[in-house]
Amino acid sequence: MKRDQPFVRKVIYLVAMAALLVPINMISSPATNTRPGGTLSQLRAEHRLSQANLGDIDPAGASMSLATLGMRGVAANLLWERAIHYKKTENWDSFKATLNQITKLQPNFIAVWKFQAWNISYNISVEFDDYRHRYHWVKKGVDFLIEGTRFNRNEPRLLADLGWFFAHKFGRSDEYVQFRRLFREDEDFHAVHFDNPTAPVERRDVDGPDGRPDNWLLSRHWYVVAQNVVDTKAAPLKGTSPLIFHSEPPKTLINFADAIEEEGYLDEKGQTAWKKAYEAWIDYGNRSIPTSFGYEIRLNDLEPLRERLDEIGSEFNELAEGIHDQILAEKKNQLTDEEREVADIPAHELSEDQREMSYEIESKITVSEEEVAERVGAEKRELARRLAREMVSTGAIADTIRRYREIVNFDYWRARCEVEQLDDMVAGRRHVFEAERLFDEDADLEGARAEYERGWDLWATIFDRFPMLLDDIQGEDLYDSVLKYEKLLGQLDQEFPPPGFKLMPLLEAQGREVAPQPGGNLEIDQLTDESESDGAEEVDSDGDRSSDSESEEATDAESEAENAEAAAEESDEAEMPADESSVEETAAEETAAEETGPAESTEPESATDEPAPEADVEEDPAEESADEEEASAEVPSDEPAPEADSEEESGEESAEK
Amino acid sequence: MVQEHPLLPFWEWLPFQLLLFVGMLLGLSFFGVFASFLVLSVRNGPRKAMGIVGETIGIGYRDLKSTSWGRIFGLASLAFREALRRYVLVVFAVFVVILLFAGWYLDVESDNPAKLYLSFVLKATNFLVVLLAIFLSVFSLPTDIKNRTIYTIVTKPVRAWEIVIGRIVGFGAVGTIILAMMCLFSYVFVTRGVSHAHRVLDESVEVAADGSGGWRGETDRQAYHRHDATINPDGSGFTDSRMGHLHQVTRSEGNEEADYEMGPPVGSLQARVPVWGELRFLDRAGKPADLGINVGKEWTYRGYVEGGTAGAGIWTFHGLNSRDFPQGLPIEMSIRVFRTYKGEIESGILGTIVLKNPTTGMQAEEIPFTASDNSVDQLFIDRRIKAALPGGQFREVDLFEDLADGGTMEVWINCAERGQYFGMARTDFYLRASDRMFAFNFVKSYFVMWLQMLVVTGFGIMFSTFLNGPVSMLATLGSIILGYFTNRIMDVLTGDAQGGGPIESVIRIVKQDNLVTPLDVNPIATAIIQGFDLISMGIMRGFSFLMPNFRDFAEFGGLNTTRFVANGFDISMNLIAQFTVTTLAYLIVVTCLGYFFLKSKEIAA
Repeated sequence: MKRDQPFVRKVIYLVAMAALLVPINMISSPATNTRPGGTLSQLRAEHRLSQANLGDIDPAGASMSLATLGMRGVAANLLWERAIHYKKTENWDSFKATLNQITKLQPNFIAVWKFQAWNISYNISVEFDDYRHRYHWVKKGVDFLIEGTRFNRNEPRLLADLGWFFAHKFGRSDEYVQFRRLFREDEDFHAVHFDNPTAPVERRDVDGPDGRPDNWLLSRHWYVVAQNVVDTKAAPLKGTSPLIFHSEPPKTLINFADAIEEEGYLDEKGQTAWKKAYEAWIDYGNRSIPTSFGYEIRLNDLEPLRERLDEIGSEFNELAEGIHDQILAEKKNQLTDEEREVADIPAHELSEDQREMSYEIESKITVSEEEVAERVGAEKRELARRLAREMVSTGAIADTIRRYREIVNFDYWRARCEVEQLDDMVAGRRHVFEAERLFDEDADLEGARAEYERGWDLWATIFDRFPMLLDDIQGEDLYDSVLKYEKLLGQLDQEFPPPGFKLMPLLEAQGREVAPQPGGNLEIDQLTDESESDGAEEVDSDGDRSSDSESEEATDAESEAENAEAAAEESDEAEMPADESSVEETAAEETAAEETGPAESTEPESATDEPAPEADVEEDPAEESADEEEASAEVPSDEPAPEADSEEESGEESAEK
Repeated sequence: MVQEHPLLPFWEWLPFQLLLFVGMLLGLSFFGVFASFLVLSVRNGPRKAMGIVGETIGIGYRDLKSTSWGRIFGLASLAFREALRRYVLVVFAVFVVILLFAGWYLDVESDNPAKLYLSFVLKATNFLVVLLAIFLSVFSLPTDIKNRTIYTIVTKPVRAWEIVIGRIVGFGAVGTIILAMMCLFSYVFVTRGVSHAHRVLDESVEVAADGSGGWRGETDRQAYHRHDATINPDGSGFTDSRMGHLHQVTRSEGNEEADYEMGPPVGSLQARVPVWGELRFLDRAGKPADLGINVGKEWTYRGYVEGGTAGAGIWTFHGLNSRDFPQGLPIEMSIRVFRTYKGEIESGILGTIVLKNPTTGMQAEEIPFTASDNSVDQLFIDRRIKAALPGGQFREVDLFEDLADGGTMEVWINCAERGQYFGMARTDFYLRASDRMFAFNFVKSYFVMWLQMLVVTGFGIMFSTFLNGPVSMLATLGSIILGYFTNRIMDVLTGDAQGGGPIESVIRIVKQDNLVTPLDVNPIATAIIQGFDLISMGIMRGFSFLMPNFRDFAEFGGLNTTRFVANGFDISMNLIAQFTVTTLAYLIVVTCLGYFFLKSKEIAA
């Protein structure tokens, strides 16, 4: 018996091992093409945890991991340290090689790809002085990121980063002019990149107006790919808000349109680009965006919601007429004397403590819709309650939409996209662009000035219709051109701003202090004075110029007269007189006075000829003498007016679209 | 190539190292004798101990005198056959497999594939050969001792010297054969890896716009790059340099169209012989400065000079003569740029080079250049050059006769643009004396690896004389690692590397403290911990100083030439001589130690 015991034990062990094989097989058997595999394989597939679900599997990486004998983390740590050392000692080739090894050990660790791609494109690239070398290293970062998407196919962060790199590194860096040019010409990069395994690029989707790929459009491609991953729920969106995330594709179209116009595509190509940008922005506004309040909103819903609020409000007010005031009075009666005193003090005169109290008072006397509804007569109380509830919820949603809109500057970009399609806008830009070309390349000062002034006319029209553009980047960009114009005038010995300068509101918006010109500066608060003193009575009190052709003619004639004056002046050293009261003299006298020189223009009410004639000319733009002056100054006088008219009319048409 | 410490000429290097070696040898000898005396005194009493020690030394001397090379070679051949029986050629097979799959791991689109491939094969070879040497050397003697086969040897009139030296020679021979095969395969791997061919795209060729009568064109894309080609009117030309190389282009008129022939890549596998000078700086006021300006970089290897000021970097070259540079001076430089404002993005930063006689002050005409930053600029200065005379005149002078004083000449580099800076280090500017054969340079690097292998073998055998196999392996590995991290240990001791010594760093890791805050324990404990760390780091520093440093080549007796070969510089015979002497020194010491340890085993037996 004892001799059989080892044998028996062995048999028992063998049977136990065989029995254990069954659950092991059930749990661990691998998946194949035809079978789903064991429990673990099925769980991996269900929760997308296997490496194959994430992306490609790299045999080199797998073998390297095996070779580390379980110390993959230690090896990766050491490699990171080496990479930092190589970066510090500017050993770029070894640095890049080390990164490759790190990613082979950690192909599914997103932070590695994100961080190091950024490191290469943003930190390493700027270590090189030659912009071509910088471009080369920016591309390396992009290639690195694309490699990361191969192993992490449905990772929106990497895909969005690609969009970001193409957008901002190629299109917004200091070297953006050079990078955009190099990118357009880099056919080798296009050939390799467009054929990438993650999201191949259709050439027609990314070609710019010159038939070559544009970085902004390629950026959009990657953002759209990232969007598709999120929309199809292939992967959740992490690390960024949906509002910002979904705003990127249309923003790339906006930036594309802006960029090509800056490069001189001030024609239907530019307008088409803005049109597409506008449509994309509206589509973005129609997209459902989850909010942190648990409901979804659409940015375009604000106006309809406000209309609905107005309707409900009217209906509610009809039902609850007078109740609101009644409740308010009751609440105010309940305030203490001190509180009543504080409530009567204007907000800007409140002390710190009083301000605190005023907030409390405000909350005490605020009358809610529910309170009003409760006081409505019994027969209509239920309706009032329902309306009150709807007002509150609609108001909350509208408020959320308003705030979300502000985050992405929705209204501004929508208006901008609309405005940029206008013919006036395009024409204005074209004139300024041409003026700068004439100034910078041809040194044609007079030609440049004429183009500038044509452009200012059109821009003035635009700003009148869209004053919001004065205070933003648009205004800032144009202000740079105005500064160039100032420089040009300086070279012509002309003063700045010239009399009747159309963009005074822009100067004000940019914080530029300019002394008022004698009856001439078209500052907003003085337009009424001008309208009283001359025949151009179409200007409204708020300075808004309607699309009245007569006023346009008057304005154009005025500017022409100014041009004539400027051309006839011999020196530009006079200060503008403060007094803008008009002195009516003939143009001939004005001309003679001008020719004698503008020496004493500091006395506002002096009887010298210089200021008066200038003021007079500006205030009597329709006078024939102005035409004579313009003829003698050889300024093309007739052209702007008809042009402005026709452009304005076409602008009206396009605005009506 | 970065070189933080200058290479001394052999005859300048030798005296100090010899002194150091003799001092350490005497020190170690004294320590060994004293330690032996103490141990023996405990067992046998001081008088007898002194006798034993004296007798052992005497025996050692007699054994050394009667060492037979015949017996050494006999034991060597035994060791050789033993190694072959242990299938050491597997190491070579592993190496071949690594080479075959290297493409999976290497960045084939690297900007400098030659450097990458060379680094890869040299490091892989180094790693495998060192491992081979360890495994061969540490198990041999302990196995013989354990199996008692050692008695068949020691009972013969074989000296312990011969046992130790014989094993070193035998295992060294095995390693030599394997290393030679690895060298051949590596060379083929590298040359095939960088080899590629282009063709000029006919449709891209157009007449040069500069009116020179030549042509400009483009090549096709091969090996992840293409070149721009510039062809002279006579039909000869070159491409631009991409990925560390360029190609020669030849145009010949064919029947209908021109034919273009492109040569193989030139410049990727090279062995430049640089002549480096000494660098000093002048500050913006023109006064001598110890270092250049620090523009905020963490790595202070380079100093910067401010543009538009009297600031300059001055290299002083010695021993210049017309025999070495008959036509003039071929210069290669890599001047870094630091801009404080962008300026013209498409233009580089301008600077000037001025050659000066350090004694007479005569200076040549300024040579303007545009710094290329991170690339190597090549410039050739003719032997006949215009020099400035007092009064603003210029006349042509001879570079060596007028501008060099007894072979010593200064080269001044200034940045011409105000607000911009040039960064320089000593090795960023050199004269390219000549080029040696790349293949020979490659073989020299393997020779240095062979020296490393001998040192490791010696250490392994030395440890195996008194430790068993696994412990010997750990000891040998530990010695190599200690030598590898010599600089890091030094940084911890001096405080350059923050975080403290062994105990302090463990505490910081466990408590998840950062490196720079004071240790969060009570002051007494802090003092004890830091004191202990200081002592232990000091001991480690001492040992690491004694151990071979296979990472660096010039500092602390380093033994590594990978950087030379990978960066395309010739390994000078000066360096080879230094490494050889260093290796001999290590071998002498480990052989002596091995002998005495083995002898003490006999005595103990």
